[in-house]
Amino acid sequence: MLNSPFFSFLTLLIFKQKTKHIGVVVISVMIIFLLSSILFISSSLQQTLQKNLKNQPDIIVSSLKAGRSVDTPIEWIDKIVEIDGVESVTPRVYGRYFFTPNENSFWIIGVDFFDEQSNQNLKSLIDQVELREFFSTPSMIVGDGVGEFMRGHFYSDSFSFRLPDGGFKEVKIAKELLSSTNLIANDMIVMPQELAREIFGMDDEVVTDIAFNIPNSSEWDNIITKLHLLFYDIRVVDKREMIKSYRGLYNYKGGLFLVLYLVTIATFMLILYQRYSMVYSSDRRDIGILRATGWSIKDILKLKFYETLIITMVSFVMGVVLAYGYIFVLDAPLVLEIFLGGANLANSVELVPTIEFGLLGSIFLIFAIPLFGSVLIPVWRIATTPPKEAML
Amino acid sequence: MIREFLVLSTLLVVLVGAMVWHYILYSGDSGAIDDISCLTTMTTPSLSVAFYEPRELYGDRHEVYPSIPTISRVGFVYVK
Repeated sequence: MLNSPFFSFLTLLIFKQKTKHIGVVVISVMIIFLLSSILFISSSLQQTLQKNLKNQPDIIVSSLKAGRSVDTPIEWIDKIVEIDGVESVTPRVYGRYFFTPNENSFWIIGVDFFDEQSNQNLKSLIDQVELREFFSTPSMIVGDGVGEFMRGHFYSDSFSFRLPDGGFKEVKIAKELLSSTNLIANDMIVMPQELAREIFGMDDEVVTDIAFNIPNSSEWDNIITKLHLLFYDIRVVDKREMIKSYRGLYNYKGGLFLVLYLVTIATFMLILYQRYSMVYSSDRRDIGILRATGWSIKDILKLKFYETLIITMVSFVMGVVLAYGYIFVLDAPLVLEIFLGGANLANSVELVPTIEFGLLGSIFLIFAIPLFGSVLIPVWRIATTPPKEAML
Repeated sequence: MIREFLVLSTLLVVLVGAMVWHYILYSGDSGAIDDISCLTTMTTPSLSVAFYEPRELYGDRHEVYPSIPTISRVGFVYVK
């Protein structure tokens, strides 16, 4: 087929009229590039977060007062432990520390490093020598974004936290996390739980919330009911809600772009349709000439079909490859802010390449079908008119 | 088939090949992110949000308009 006269004529025609096609290809590449970029980021972030969900506790319980979150009494743990089917009950201390009021903030997490599992994870994050030093003085591990921000404000070795009683607490920066953890730890500060309590002004009787696991997922609803019977003002968040909110967060933004894309593509297709159906267009004359030299309507439609197919394929491949390079090689400068925000510390995330073939197929179909329609319908209308009339 | 078309096809094949090559050979460091999420039991993305927006994806959030700040949102602000 590749050596057939028809194919030679088709490719010759495309390159002969390349100025006509370049405009269509450039606009198509831009549309596919923008849409693919957004969907690549969205699916990559979602996949990375979903992978880490295994480390998320199944249930989080916190105390409410008049509908507002307040510190949770630590004595609740004793009651929760007594519920059958509950395990790994962990009190958590965390919150936001504002560097300047209403501006940049850090996400402080207090960890019980004497817990066996936490100790193992800490060991894999910092080596043995640093570990001894870490426990000998008030120390913290900071995320990449926090480290950069602190260096920018001349806190390269330690940082002085302002305490609620007006005093200051100097904490040594023991380690800066790798930039590969930026997706969840860019603004994070990890420190011993007692130190976090001191900075937040929390006493030993309260925690921010209590997290625990329920190995048998069919017991989740039953245990949630028991919790509501045990305590009056509580908020219970389970892992299912977390998964839903992760999906919702990025599907919403991806969907927004899909709507914009549909508007753009509809406009583009209307322009193309208009171009092909113009009374004095060169396409009209060309079709007339072909009809006059003996080409049937079917042959003309076949020629235009393959011509559009080649243009679509070239645009699609170029758009997708450019989007892939922009997102996964250059790490999506500018566009990433749409998904991660830019109101607090600057965040640069290394995105894990994710290709959803179903998604790419959908993009291709959503793009190709209107394109074929906007070219073939006017071509068919011209081809069915007498050649003499078409060439006028 | 004309030569220009052959060149264009080859170029596209090379582009797709480079993309597939990068995709297959990518070896990101997922261990560190796993360690930190396991250590802190926090998996919410590090959203660079303004002071009135929630940092975690659960908690005090308006169900219908998630961007509306709630009273208890500002966790730790010092009085000027």
